[in-house]
Amino acid sequence: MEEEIDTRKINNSFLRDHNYATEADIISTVEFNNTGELLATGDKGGRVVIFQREQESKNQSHRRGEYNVYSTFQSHEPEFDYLKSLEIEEKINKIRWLPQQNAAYFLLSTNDKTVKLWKISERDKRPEGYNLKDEDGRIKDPSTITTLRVPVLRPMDLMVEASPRRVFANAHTYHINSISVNSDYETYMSADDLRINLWHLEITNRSFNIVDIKPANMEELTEVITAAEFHPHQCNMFVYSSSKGTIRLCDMRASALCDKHSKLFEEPEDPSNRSFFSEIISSISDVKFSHSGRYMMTRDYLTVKVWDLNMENRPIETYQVHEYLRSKLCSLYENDCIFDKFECVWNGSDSVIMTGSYNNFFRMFDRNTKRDVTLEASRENSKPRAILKPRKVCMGGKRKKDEISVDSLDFSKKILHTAWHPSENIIAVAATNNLYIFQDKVN
Amino acid sequence: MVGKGVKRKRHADGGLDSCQNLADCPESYSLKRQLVLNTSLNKMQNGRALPELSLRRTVLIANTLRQIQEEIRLESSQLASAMALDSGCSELGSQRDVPPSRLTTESHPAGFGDGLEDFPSASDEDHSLSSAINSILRDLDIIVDESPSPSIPQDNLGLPEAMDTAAEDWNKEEIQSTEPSRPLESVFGSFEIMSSSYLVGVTLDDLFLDIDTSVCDCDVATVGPAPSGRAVPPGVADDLAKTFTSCNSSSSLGASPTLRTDLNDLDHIMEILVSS
Repeated sequence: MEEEIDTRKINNSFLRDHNYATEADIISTVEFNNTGELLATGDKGGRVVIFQREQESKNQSHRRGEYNVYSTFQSHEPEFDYLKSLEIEEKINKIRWLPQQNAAYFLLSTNDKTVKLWKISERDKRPEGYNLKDEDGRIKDPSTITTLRVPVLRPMDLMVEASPRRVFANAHTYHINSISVNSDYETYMSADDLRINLWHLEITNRSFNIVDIKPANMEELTEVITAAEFHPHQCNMFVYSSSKGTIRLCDMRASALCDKHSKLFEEPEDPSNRSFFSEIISSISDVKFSHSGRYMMTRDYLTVKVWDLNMENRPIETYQVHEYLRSKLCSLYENDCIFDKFECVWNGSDSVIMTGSYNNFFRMFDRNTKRDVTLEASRENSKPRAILKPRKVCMGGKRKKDEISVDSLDFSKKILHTAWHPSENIIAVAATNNLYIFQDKVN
Repeated sequence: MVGKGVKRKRHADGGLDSCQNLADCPESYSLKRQLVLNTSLNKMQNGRALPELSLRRTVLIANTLRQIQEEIRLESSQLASAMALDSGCSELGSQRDVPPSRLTTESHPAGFGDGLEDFPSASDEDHSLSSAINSILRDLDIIVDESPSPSIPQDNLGLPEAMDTAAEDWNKEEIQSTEPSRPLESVFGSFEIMSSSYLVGVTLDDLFLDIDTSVCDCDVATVGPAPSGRAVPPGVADDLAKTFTSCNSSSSLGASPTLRTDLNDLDHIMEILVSS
């Protein structure tokens, strides 16, 4: 059954479910929670919007649950560092959900400098029947109260409250680019350009530095950390990627400061593809472990690579995302697009990987059938419930009908953030300030 | 900024695309390299404040610059060894102190076969280029990190001349009061702080402009010309406070209400300045 769905998806039977236009703010992160019931988005204005999947009703069993807005709150505010005369952006860089342990939901959200733990809880009952206040609301004189009345819980309209439970601040000199919750559910790490810190979820005034690549002399700085993630099952292992195209796997049991890697993953450079921009396009923008924990995926500017954790010298699979941009690198360097950081995601069964591109295109690669598809997230090209049409970019020469030539691509419309439901074929795609949710068609 | 994809006309030859075939024409390789060099330099110099926004971007651009610089240096050293027999070595010394502003404005002629006059400028560019990159990274350290790394003092070949002398004076005062051990060669750092400070150009006098001190018989002139900049050295602040408090107490007997309120305002302001 699952296989069927997968091949169907690659035959682009995705249809558009909803299109939520957030108010003018660019979406900067998208993340499903561990069950897929909730979908969180963070934006450039420091807001977090959480969507909840509605319960499937009994009479409409064929209709999948849709996502509705569940909660909206301001996670981070802009700050000004007076000591250094620097503005700290409120943009949410990453959101990571904690596994659910009680009725409330918990998530970590971070901007450039501060990580916050938010609790989202529901309130749908209210105690009524107090006889301590009169009708005006004034507290009665205790001597006038002669009976003891026990308040009763009465249902009320559902209220969803978000409250900050922990604020993890003042631990990062440079900009935080990643956070990752450990599989022990007690610790998490935050990574900036040069350092990675380990936190305990309960303790906010102390963190441990586990990676530090800052050189003694800043003039020797040639490499920064670009992403980091904990292993999904082994709580002592994590990886971090660099701007030079390397990934380091570290074991926290080896030493307190994990500057020495356990494994170094690096693919030797292809001499035929060498250019002035070889290093820039090799810079890894995202690294994600597979759900199984056996593989990891990295995204650099032009490709997505799947690595086997047991083999360090080269990836086991390489997928070209937009190879047609290789001849345009000079212009992309001029307009700074070459520095865009695209993310990548696995599907629930690790059989399909997805990543974004320009012109609101996003790409999916089926690892088993080796087939790939390019889809577009835009309002003009897809009506609700319509099945997405595959797109094609032509490199040069004769342009076929429905194809788009490389020179007509809109580089301001980039899909950097996508998310895949942990178990079903539902994807969330952030296109600038619009969020698209696509579901697999059910016959 | 992000550029929108623009439909381009097909060129028969020339333009960017023709430089893609590196194997075919070595001359266009130099052109392309020069283009990348110029673009990188513009990025580094235009976005002086951008290391705070993206360290990754700055490091990647710096690495690209270094790589090109290395290539040029390698080529020029190969050229030098080929031309070592000529008597052009004497020309090198005289051209050593070429101003670094040549770096961005001048478009370097393609190829090195044109003659000796190109050779010394290349090494000058290298020198100022590398010190420019180094100074940017070093200043980032000063600005961003609380514990700046000990850096070896570098010569100032790569620094642009566009520096306000007033800013320099203020910088000297500021730096010397906080870190007397740090050498003052890192003028870029102070320039950075000045340009992003919201109190640029505000002097102590400006703060007191709206207060009428003519009624006060205290000798305000003894304070002297206030140091420019927002930080009042503690010694001066104390003097000011003492001067005004003594005025207050001496004239309290026969002072008019307006004079007292004025002096109270001054006290209040001094409190704020001293405590900040």
